[in-house]
Amino acid sequence: MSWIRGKDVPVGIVFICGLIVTVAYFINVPAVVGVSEAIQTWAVVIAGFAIGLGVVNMVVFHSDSIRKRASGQWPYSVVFLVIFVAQTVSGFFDLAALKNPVYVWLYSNIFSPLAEAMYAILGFFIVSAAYRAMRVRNIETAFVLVSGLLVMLTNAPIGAAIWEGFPILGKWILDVPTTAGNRAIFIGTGIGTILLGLRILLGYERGYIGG
Amino acid sequence: MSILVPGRITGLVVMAIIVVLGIWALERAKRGKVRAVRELAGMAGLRIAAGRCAEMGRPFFHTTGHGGGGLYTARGPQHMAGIAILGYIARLCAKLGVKAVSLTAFPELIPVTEDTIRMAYLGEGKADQVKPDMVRFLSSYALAFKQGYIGQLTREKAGAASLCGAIWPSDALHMSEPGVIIGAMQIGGAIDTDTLSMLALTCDYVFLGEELYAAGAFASENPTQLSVMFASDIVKIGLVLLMIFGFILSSAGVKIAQLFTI
Amino acid sequence: MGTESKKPRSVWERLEHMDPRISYWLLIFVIVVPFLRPLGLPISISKETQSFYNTLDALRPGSVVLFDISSGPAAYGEIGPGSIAMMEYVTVVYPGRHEGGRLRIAIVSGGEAEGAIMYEAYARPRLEKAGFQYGADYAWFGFIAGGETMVARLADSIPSLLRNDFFGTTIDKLPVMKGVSNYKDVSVVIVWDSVDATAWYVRHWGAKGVRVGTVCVAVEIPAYITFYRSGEVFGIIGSSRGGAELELLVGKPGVGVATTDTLSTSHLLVIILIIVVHIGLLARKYLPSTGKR
Repeated sequence: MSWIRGKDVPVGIVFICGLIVTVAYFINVPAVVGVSEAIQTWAVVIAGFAIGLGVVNMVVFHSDSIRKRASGQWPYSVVFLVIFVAQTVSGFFDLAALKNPVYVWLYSNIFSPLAEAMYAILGFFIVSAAYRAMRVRNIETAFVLVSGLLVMLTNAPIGAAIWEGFPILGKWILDVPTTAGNRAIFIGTGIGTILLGLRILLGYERGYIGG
Repeated sequence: MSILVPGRITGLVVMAIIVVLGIWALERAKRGKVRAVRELAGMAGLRIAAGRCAEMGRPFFHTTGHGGGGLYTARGPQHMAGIAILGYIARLCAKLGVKAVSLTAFPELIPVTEDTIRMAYLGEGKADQVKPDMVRFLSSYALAFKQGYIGQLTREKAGAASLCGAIWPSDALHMSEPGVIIGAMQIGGAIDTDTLSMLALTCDYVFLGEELYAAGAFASENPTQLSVMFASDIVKIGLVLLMIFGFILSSAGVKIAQLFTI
Repeated sequence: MGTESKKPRSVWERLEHMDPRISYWLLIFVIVVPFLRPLGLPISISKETQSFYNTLDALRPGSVVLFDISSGPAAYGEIGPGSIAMMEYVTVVYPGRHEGGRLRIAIVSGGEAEGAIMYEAYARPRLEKAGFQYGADYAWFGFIAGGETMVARLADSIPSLLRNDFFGTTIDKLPVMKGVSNYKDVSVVIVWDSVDATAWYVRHWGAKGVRVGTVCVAVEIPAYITFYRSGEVFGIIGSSRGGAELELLVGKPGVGVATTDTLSTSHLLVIILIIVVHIGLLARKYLPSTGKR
């Protein structure tokens, strides 16, 4: 029975499922399309069950960190476990309507403001990243800097107020070189994705089963 | 009703050409005809980063990111490429005695990354160095995942970080800027152009677009896999010729674009 | 940032390697001040926003519009102004310009489960306030899992994927969805996008000739300009600036217009900081007394 535990069976399963899903995208045969949809539904269900694995991983990590009093980490682990339990338990009550007051309070007053704050931090990071990285070291970085400045002055109304040419130049940069570069990368990644899929289907790429 | 779905026939033909060329390149490589492929700068960057972690006694962090979907979604190939790079990082870390830590946003990636790290350390004879906290699931919610990543990266003062895989544009800067602040060496890789612009600002090395998949092939250290790059190059040359041909015909008034919508 | 030299640094070195926290405080200052004292700079309307508006305005009453809310509350700062302006247009301005005629609206959330919160906060209240009847004028189908695969399947068969609405009513009992079976019955798709969902619709609906529009975050604009240039996307409401433009077109200036001045001041700050860095860099390189390395 060692062939069941070898790598050939999972690779075989991947090949069959991958082939069916790929072929179903291009053909109008209801039986094949139906099997493809079933496979994709199973994938979603299996991934859903995997959340249990994630929960165990998180709880073990944070419990260990509290037990070992991991420097700098353990207070956050305590906060995590408390909120995790509170949100999970409260979410089981009034499941359909999600109107449990504890759940809604935790979501509206802790989760949502933190999420919005995370998004807001992006503004600060952009400023420090631009300040640090946009420096002229050679001709290429000079192009990057000038393009970036022009696009910034296009986006902000002050650019047009300073000089009406800024939005025209900035739009040209977005419409022509940026579009051309984007298209080249899209095409390249499309080809690369197909070839990676081929490597996976043929069993050359086995990272998903631990290499 | 035709058996082929209308509007997808051109896509099928193009995909078939790419697949045939890919198989041809793989078969050629198996017969020993392997084309030399220039090494990506990022691969050298990974080695330098691992060496830096060994000198500083700090862990090497890795993530394939969130990207809006896990292994079973359209982002799956990007996660796969990131995991291949993780395997390479783990082998380097095992050789140098560095702790490799992988942070994941999707639970289905946990067994995959655990296996990858364990096999890498086992291969170097360092199975005893594998610890359970080397693979950590943070959250499937992007903002919580990012914050968890930032928190652990900064608290453990990683010496290097690899952000290669399905990285969202807004995640890229969030996750890489703290790495710069703590002085970590960073290697990024993504296929979204928006993400690449953010990674370029903060990472020391970047795998641009398709280079992420090529890096996955390099990471396997298998010349047969690398040979697939040859097929990719042939397709690109064909597309450039098609573009020139199409430009000439379109300029002459021929509605060539309609051919590609059948 | 590595070990720092103990020698006192010159002014030029300090300019070149300014503590990022100084730039953070400056950013807070330049964001707050325009709220207290607006600059009132004129906002020009971009082609992408004008095209978005014109396309919607040209729809016949009774046309089916599919909204995909693939964005959560965290992205409200960027997508909020455009989304609200769009809802104002659809619920108030469009009927006003088309003798009371309304668009038929189907709303799903494909890329982000938190789209339901955006629906409850920004879509449903405006629809109800404008007198839109649930079931007859609009329907909400909730979050549908599957991402791009779901979007591809939805194009081919809407009733097979949207069997029930969010409240359990079967699709055949919703008058707004009468006669809607696949992509051919949908006039436009509009995506509130912070997760790259517009690209899914471009690939699977746009390829079939359905017009796709997007209200997106700023980082996605360069990629979607590519689609706009090739005609695959009919309009882009890009971040709060695009939202401000749409607010002006719709005639209801709001949060977007109010925050446009902060765009100007914050962008100016970044430009000034870049100039400061280069002053320090060039001074260290070329001035003899600056102790260059």
